[in-house]
Amino acid sequence: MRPSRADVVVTGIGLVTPLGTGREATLAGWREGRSAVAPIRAFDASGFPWTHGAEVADFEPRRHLADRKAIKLMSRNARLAVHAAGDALAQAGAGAVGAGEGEGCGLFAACGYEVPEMDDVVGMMAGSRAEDPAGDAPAPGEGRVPLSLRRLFESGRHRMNPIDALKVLPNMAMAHVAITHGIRGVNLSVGPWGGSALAAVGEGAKALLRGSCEAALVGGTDAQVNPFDVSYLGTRGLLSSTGACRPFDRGRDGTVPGEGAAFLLLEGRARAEARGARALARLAGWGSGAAPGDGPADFGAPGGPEGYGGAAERALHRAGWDPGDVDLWVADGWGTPRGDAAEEEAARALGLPASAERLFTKHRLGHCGGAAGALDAGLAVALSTGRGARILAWAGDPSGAAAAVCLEATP
Amino acid sequence: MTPRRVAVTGMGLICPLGRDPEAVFRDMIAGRSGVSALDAFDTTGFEVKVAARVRDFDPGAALPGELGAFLERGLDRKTAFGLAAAGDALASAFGAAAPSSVPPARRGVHLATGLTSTEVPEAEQDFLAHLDGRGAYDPRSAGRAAARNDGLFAYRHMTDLCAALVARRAGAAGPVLTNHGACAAAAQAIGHAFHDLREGEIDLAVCGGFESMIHPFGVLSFALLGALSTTTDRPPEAVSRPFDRTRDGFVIGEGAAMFVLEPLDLALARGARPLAEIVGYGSSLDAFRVTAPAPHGAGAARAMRSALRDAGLPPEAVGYINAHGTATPLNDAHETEAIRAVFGGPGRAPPVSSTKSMIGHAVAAAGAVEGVAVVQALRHQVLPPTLNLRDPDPECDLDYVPLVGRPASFEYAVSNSFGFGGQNASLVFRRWEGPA
Repeated sequence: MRPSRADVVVTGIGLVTPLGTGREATLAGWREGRSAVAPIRAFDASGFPWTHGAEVADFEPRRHLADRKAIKLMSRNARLAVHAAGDALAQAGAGAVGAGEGEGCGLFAACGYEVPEMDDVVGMMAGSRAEDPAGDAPAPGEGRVPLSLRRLFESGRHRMNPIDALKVLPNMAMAHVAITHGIRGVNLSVGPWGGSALAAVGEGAKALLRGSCEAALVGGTDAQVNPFDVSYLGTRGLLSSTGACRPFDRGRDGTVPGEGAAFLLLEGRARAEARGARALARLAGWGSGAAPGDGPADFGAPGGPEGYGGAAERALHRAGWDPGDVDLWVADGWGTPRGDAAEEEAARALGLPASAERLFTKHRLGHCGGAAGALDAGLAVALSTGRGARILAWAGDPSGAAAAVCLEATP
Repeated sequence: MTPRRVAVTGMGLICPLGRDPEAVFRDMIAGRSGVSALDAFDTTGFEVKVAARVRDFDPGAALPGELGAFLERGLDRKTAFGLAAAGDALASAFGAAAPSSVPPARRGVHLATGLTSTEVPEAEQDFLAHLDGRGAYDPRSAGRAAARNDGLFAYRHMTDLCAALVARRAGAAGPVLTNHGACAAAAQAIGHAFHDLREGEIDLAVCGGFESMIHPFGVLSFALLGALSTTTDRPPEAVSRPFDRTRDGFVIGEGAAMFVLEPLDLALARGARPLAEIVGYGSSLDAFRVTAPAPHGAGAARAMRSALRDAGLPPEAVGYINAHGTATPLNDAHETEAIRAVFGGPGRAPPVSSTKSMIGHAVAAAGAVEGVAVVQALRHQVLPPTLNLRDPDPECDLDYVPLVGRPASFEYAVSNSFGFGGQNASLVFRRWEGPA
């Protein structure tokens, strides 16, 4: 039952966001106008120049994950992903994954690195420092502390659980989603960048049209409120030092790290109707683009105007829409000076109408890394179902890569 | 649109046997090994003693001058491998000329790699700075280290840096993606690039994988998982022994391989010489356990069937299988079972070999490095061997082309890559029959 190009629909949206665990909790938080951006609680961030984040505060693994034995095998982004995937599949209803052993369901996701358990990793390394012959340990943070490999191996054997070695593999979130929900079809785990989750949506759509699967769970997951990711984003110059993300504002100075997971279930309209599932939206188009930048250390603004614009042109072309058809523009809105300017430039060059409503989320949800694009698009569809809006959503990354989708919410 | 045929028109390879695909393949069919003593760091007190390391590689020389000193200092080993291999692939496809006839928006880059870098100096700098005076982890120290940022921390841990730089070098403004499908990653990158070309999304792709985990943290992690060979009573070149009764784990390798792919008609029109065609790609998920492959190689079999279906080929069309063949006890038994399920048992299944016996396991780059071996096998009509297979495992009862290469006449070859976490991928390559 291979869908035609016009027939790919969204029948489930799963969200775990800083506004709440689950789509309904997120929607309620959004409608109340809440912001989840607050001083970081997950760790003591007082040493960082960047002290704010958006955390999923109400997520409780033992309440939100059915298989409690599996919890210890999962790092945080896998836990968030498993719940968000379940949220999407539950809305999509019985038979969403499909008959047989789930080999007809594809899985395409942007997965964050599994680095949050820094205490364990660094603790192991701490036990591996070479003895200082003079007896005085180097002051913390001052230059290099030599490692003793002999101690590392000993310490690793004693302190490191093999499970921890597995947890850090970057495709583990996908493995846990597959195991929990019985998904055995075609797949890809994309890296956790700004545009990756929307690129994953496009990969899933292509697999459906090709007939490689009959349904595809697409989206992303990331848990960025940890010292490693904050260091990574901060030293790239992407985080706000004032702790406030202000997309498109004159005073904007960066984004704030967030965490979350978002999944959409895609399938052909005929399959959805046969199952009695409601089409929440039609996925009309998708596309990717890149703005390679030119300076040695310069990877452009997030996405760059050519990245956002190129991705959007492809998505609109595939949808058969004119830019003037867009009712709702889901902007990326990192809140970085250059990124937001690049988006404005791309929107102008493309000819997005001034009448189009603009939705952006990072001032309230932070930048949820690998989940970001799917999270914004999923939220936009959930808010628009019943209104018939034509939605253009895009997301990009400072490396220059961007992706876009066109979604027609069901009237 | 009508599906287009997809040609491999360029290859770049950095592997433990060298950098020239012709010379590397000659070494393979002669049964030479790139495995040697693990001398990348001091292994005193550690049970893993061998690795397949890339030698004589100068990261500085691999870099295009325009990157400047800033990136050169921040570039990690695997990214340098990837850039060098991509440069070689583009040069082999286009010579000194740029692929100027293809609009930038119709050029894509699909790459694969593993974890962020944890080479020792970087780990010391990036993580041990996070300790308090008593040696306990202190996020405030991490914060102060980040605030003193030397500008390189992020670049060291930026696994999409290679794709961004390759995109710049190839002038690509179309899809630019990096995936992390563990040991299946490079095959998945090639597969997705192939589909994008076949289905008319793009007209030029650079695709492949790059990896280096021969550092203490990488080796320690795989050792803790029980995946690495701890054999010490054989010479290093005899340690990696896929499908052998005495196999005890894989030998860690490293490297990169990149392909330039083009639609066959456009490639021929510009006078390019195809090296091979790619005709099928399939993938699957085990959805079993994170710690072990699915029983009977069920996931692996689904990936191979999915690739054959994608290629529109019956199993009997396939003349050679480049196995995942890691030499772990479980993988080789399960893969054998999967091949039997898809292709039939001994006498019916085509010859199978594991080039990991010679170049080790390049982890996220494996599917690309082994893809080069498959393309060379098709071009030269010689099967690369499974080195060190002297004591066949009764459970592994197929034809594994032991010890030395073997001439063969065949049109289609399958390349398997199966990842931790149960991600599986298979590619189908076809011999280019036209003028070479």
